[in-house]
Amino acid sequence: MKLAIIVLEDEPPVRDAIARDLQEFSGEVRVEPAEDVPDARELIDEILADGDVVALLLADHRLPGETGVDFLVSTMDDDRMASARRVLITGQADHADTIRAINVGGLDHYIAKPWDPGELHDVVREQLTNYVLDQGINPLPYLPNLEMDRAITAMRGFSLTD
Amino acid sequence: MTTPYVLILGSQGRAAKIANELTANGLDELVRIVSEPTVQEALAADHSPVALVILDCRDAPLDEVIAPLREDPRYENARILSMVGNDGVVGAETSLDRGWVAAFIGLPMTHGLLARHCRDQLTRWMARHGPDADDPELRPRVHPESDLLRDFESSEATRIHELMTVIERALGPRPRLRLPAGVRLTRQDVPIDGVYIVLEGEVALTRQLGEETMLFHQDTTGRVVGLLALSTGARSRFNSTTTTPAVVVHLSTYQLDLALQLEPQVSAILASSAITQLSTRLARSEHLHTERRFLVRRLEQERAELTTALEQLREARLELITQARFATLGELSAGIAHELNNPVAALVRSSEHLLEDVADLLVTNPKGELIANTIDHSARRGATSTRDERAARRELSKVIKDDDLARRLTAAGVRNPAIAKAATQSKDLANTIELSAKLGTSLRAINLASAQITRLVSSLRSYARPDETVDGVSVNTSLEDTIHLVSHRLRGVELVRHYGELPDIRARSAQLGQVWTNILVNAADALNGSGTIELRTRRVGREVVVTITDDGPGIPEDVLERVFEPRFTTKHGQVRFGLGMGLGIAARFVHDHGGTIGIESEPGRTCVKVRLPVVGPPDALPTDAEEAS
Repeated sequence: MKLAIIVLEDEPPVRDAIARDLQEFSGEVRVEPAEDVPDARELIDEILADGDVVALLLADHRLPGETGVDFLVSTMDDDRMASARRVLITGQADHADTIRAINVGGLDHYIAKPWDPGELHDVVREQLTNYVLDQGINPLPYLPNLEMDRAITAMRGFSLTD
Repeated sequence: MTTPYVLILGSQGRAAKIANELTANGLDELVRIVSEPTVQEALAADHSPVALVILDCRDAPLDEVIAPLREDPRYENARILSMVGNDGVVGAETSLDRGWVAAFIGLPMTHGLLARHCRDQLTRWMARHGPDADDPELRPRVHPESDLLRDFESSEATRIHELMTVIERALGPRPRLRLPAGVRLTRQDVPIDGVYIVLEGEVALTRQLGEETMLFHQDTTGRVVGLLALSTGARSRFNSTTTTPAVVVHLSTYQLDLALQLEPQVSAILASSAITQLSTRLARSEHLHTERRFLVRRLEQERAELTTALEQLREARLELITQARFATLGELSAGIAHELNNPVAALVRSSEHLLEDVADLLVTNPKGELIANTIDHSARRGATSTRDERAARRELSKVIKDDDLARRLTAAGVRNPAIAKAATQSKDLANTIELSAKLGTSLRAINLASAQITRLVSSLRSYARPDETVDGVSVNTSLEDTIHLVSHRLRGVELVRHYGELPDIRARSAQLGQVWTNILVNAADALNGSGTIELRTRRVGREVVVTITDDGPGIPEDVLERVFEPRFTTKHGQVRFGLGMGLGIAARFVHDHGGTIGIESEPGRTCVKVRLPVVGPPDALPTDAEEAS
């Protein structure tokens, strides 16, 4: 079972750049770009069909059609997605949208554009670790992609053969 | 002077009796007494001037009898006595309204009374229209015989002199009080036990209102101070104070009462004095009332003017703010355009140099050709949809049975299964392909980004000189520039362009840009992220016509009427400027350009139509000098 990170961003160069900045997350973590909300929904189905889980949603706010915040809010009602971590990455969300994302959309973090790659890594690593620990998943296979200290502490609860 | 006539109008029998009575009382010595049965006959006869008409036409409505008489100049000033029988007066509305009738005389009447009436009326006529009317000495006077009316006619000084005479006749000599200016005779709200008769000097009546002393009467005080207070419950309404040295006589209420009992004439004089005093005060109050009406009206007028001025100030202020914003925007635009051009040029050049240098490096590399081709391919290939990419990945994955490598290769643009297979054999090859592709993708991103910046910079340039009117403005280009600048507001909106062949126009391009910005942003807001905006331009005669139509929910009718008002906006119920502001500013700029703007809206279709004259703003038409240069 792989942990999937969905990158929802409509502008190809920006999408490519985020994916590229996330390339160090590999192995048992898959980074999946999506260009709009319908595409992201399709992608979720594919990921689940592969037997993997959606661990993290990284969404831009301004998208054609449905906004990123609307998308994040809508996934709250999806049982398969309820536990996924949610990060808004945008340069244009106005104040009210951000508040709504935090209050209703279960937003875990907000990243402003242009993003700092180091910050992006830290946030993704932290959120993946949160996901793994919350779900009671054995961190071992994902260790290179997680916060080492917290993951190792948590691993004491699992046998090595788990 | 011809002897004036007295005309008796009525049946011959009664007319003769009336004439007899007048003759018996000697009136025939003063006037010529004639009688006529009807108005028509009276008018036909040659009587002039007529001083008095005695009407005895008891059946006819009064107005119908008098109106024709009054139209005749000979009867213009005639005084009219109307004899009224048991039936009363009928049809006298106009007569009363115009004041045509001098007196109504009830019938039957005491013998000899009519003659006295006539004598009195004749005297009054003589006083105004007789030969000595203009001479105040010779002019005949009517002398009333009653005390009251006679006292009315005498002057205040005479009246007071008479009053003192009769009072002293009753009470003996009254002591004169000689007072300097500033002595208070009565106090406001304090009960009064007597009156002061002012023989010399002046007294002012004031009231204390809080801190302020208000003067009510000076010329209208009257000579008997306290008289009116006696009549109204014995509390003085005013402070009365001498304003000059004065001579007064004080009468206590008891002394006044005594004088009134002993000399009945006192009451007539006091009554006439009180009435005269009241009527002068009333006249003053009426005058003040009129003045107040006038002042109120002027106040209202001034308030209306102030409101207008305020409105104009507000508009001027908004205009200034708008202008200031434009000036700032213009300066910023010019600055940004200048500052951005250098780095963008460096960016564009560097990316090209990078490509050349890498190509040179690769010449000696054994995998040089593969790397160069991959870079080139990645740099040139257009954006693929994430959906297509996933499909391609699945295809490759089937062939090479390695999901992770398939993902990397697809991202690197590899679609050829043969290359993919080769990559499974060599980790090195896979890495090389992936790295080269990433290099190409980054180069493409740099080129795209710099092209986008270049385009934005050139769009900004049109905002650089907001107030300048220039020739050769292309409306289509102006629209495209604006679309670029507001593209972030147009996400999810499909733009359909039907641009016609247009002549270049004379315009202020920054203002034009603002017009399109406002209309487009308004439309985009209405669409709320999905829908279509259709832009259509065409030439009609000497005008360029631009229509911008959206398929949003439409504007309610009551709002539609007001969208072009200067400060109207439905967003958060407040005025906002800059992006997102109402159509009011757009309308103003269009009007400044000598153009027109209109809007039609129904659910599913809102259309804004702008017409601009090709020759440009009327206030900025090229002068001869400019054209010559």
